Amino acid sequence: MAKVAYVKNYPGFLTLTLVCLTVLYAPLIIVTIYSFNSSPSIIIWEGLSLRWYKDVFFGIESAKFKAAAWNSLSIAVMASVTSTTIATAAAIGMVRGKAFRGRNASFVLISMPIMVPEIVTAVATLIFFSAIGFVLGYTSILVAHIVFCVPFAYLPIAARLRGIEPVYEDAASDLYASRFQLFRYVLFPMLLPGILAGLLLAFIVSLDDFIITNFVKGAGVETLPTAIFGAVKQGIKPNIMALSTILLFVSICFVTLSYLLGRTGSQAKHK
Amino acid sequence: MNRFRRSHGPGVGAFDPLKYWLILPAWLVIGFFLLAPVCLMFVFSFLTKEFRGGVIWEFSLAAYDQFLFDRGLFGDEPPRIQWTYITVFVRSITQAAMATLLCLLIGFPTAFYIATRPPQLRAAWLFLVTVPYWVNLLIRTVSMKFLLRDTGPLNEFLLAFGVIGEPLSIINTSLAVQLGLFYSYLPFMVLPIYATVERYDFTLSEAATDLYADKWTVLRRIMLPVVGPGIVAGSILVFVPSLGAFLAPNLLGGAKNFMIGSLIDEQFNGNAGNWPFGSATSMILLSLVLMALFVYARQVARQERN
Amino acid sequence: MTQKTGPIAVEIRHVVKQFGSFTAIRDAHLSIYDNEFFTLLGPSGCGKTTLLRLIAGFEATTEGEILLFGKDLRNLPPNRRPVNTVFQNYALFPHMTVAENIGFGIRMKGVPEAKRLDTVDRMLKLVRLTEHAHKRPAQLSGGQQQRAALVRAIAPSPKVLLLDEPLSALDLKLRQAMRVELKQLQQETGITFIFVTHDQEEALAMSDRIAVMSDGVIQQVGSAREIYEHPRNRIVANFIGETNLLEAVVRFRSDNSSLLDIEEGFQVECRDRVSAKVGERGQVLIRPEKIGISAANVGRDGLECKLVRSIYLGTDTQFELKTRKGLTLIARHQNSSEAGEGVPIGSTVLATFAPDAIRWLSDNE
Repeated sequence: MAKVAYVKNYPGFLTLTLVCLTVLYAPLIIVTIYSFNSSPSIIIWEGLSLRWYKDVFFGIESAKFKAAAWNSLSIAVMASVTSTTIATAAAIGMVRGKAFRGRNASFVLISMPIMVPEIVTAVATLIFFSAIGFVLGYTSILVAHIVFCVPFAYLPIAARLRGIEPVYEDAASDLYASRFQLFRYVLFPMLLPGILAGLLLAFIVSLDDFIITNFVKGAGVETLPTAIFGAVKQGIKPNIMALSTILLFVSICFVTLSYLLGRTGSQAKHK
Repeated sequence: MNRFRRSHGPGVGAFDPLKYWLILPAWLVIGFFLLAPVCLMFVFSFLTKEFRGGVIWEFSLAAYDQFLFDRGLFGDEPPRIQWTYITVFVRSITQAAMATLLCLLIGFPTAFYIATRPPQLRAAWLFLVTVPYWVNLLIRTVSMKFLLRDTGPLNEFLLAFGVIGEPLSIINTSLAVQLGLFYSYLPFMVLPIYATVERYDFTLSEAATDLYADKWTVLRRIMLPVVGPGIVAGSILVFVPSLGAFLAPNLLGGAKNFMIGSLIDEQFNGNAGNWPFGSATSMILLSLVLMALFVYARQVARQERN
Repeated sequence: MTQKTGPIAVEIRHVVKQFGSFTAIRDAHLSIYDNEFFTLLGPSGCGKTTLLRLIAGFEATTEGEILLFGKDLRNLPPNRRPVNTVFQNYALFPHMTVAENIGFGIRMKGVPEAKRLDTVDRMLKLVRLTEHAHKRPAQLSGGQQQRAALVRAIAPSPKVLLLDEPLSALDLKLRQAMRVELKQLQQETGITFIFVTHDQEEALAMSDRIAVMSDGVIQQVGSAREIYEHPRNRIVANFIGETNLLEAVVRFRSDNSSLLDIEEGFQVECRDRVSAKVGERGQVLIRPEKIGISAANVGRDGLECKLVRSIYLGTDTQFELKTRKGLTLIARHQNSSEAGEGVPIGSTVLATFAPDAIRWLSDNE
């Protein structure tokens, strides 16, 4: 490791950083290890086996998990794509439009799903759906997810857009591009990393959500988090640990992928 | 589409004439499915409860009354202060504050350490710290629960190495909840502090050491005022979601340590089935959060003015 | 002097531009001829870039009109104006190759692909970028980016090319080479260039005509020589080259020769038309290179001064002189001319003025 200047080096900070990483990773690593335990008890270690992975895919509860996984994935895909589209349009309007009365209010409104505690959003959404007679189920989950994904998609897109100087749009107009061509050939490709980041963020946030989903899902419809929560209420069982480990690695793969994508993007930029 | 193709006049950016149309979907979606529902929730908090969920459309202060006063089982005794719910709120605030402090104690040195690494290593360190955040919160909390159990790996490990004589009971304590909250929201503390430390001009520190200040004095007197806003931002970002957290207290805290989130959940998904009371409690939580955000926004505004 | 006339390419009439309460351009009038290399020169914030953006259509005029070959541009958006811009930091699209950048304008205009590729090849050859055609802008050097931006704007054959300080991001050597190249390109293509810069040397070297702008006002329009030799007012005089600005009192006046008092009892001859009456005050300009220095005892007619300071500047030496009344004069001589050489600091010298050295500023506010 390169030498660090005197004033940047504080004794003990490295130790605390390592403590921090230990706390962050220990639970995940332990669960991963125990998911390979062949014992039906979570207490006793009996040796390595893929038994509980088999159980997740083919066991008694596998149908439930598959249905939940399908719900989670399909909702995450639709919610992230829809919210990213809404957020992209909003970001262009907010960042590229000239200042107008109510711009701050618009920003507050767009970031409202992040500011309001999740449990409050959940309560309000449930009350609203029941008041307008919206039947709780798959669709209500999807709608709720679209709403709270908007700001998560908006923030990286708006940040990227602020980093793109308007001069490129001037240049494109100057070179005879219509507004549509300007978006299609100049702004969209330049904005793409932000859009992808927003999409990914919205996707993960949707996949991750438990509280709001738990309120608006209605009877019989489960996503992976609500299914896992239901199962954990009776105690942690080894098949849940196997399922968790699968999800854990899916998440980590996603994040690593986006990290690597972002890095190659920025490297190309700085060359 | 026609509007989109029509060329814009001179003197404005290409997208300025369309701005209202572009923002409109976001306004509609959030306005209709979040702002309106929150307003409706406010209304619900003043309605009469229907047993087993729902409301009767009759004005009532019962929900707020129930929050503050105890009028006996049949509501005919003279009102006494009802401590049950106030205690839940005080506990929630304390837990959230403790979790914030924990995040700060571990998060500041971590953020500082990362921000002072050579630039090519910083991204990798940040990546390491943020990866767990992207793992499903429920799974993280369950993992934490698994680790901390009385008969769990942590206790076995400590027993095996003779560090402790008998298992520590961490699960179902307030410490477990704090650890869970810390685990849930740590990146929110690290990232804003990292951002301010990274922008900090370390020649200021060098100037101060050159003028005979020791390193800890430099940290306190020179750096802290500069990176202060990052610390405040991080604290708010951890405190606010911790206050309304549901999973960590529910899974790690046991019956004695439940927080506002569980109290609200109980009114809708549990046996209590009292929607107006759940709405009122949500309103109170929302007000607390908005106050915290307001303080933060004012601080940011003051910062920007300077 | 190559004064061009002929059809007017761009005519600016009564143009006013306000941003909120700030007036960026006050009542500008300007006629720019076809085929002309025209420069808008002024310090930063003088409104020159705003004027360029008004012509391009990125900003709308508050008042007045801009005509392009007699056609009012008022309601035309930038993408409908046959005018192209070379931006200060080039604004090359980072996600496209050099060739794609150059072909962008004609692609948007709907030129068929075969013809488009042909034009792109021609443009690449014109600025020697053929081997870099498939690189991204970020992989090019500053000078190469500059040339790519230039032909990107030329490729659609605009009627007028607008250049917004295109050389300012280059280092000195490259900048000087690009001046020659730009001028050559303008002469070869025959496109009207409107060039914005704050660098007077650049303006003097390339332009057919220059408009000096300051505080949103076009102060003077003329050839490089006119602007240098006959600045209309002190703003122009101060901005172009180094100057001694002095108060003078008119003692005698005729059409082509007047006598002015620049210090009590010391009179100089001025051959400009003097706009003040006898006995009135006015301002004169003396360029430092037009002040001669000789030893005090040679008996020539000159102003007695003390040499306060001399600064060696490589090709030149600058002398600071002080008259007995306390007036400061700056003189400057090429080091090959031997004038003032070896004169010790603090000694008394004579400052001499050729009759054409004294320039009367016609526009005294």
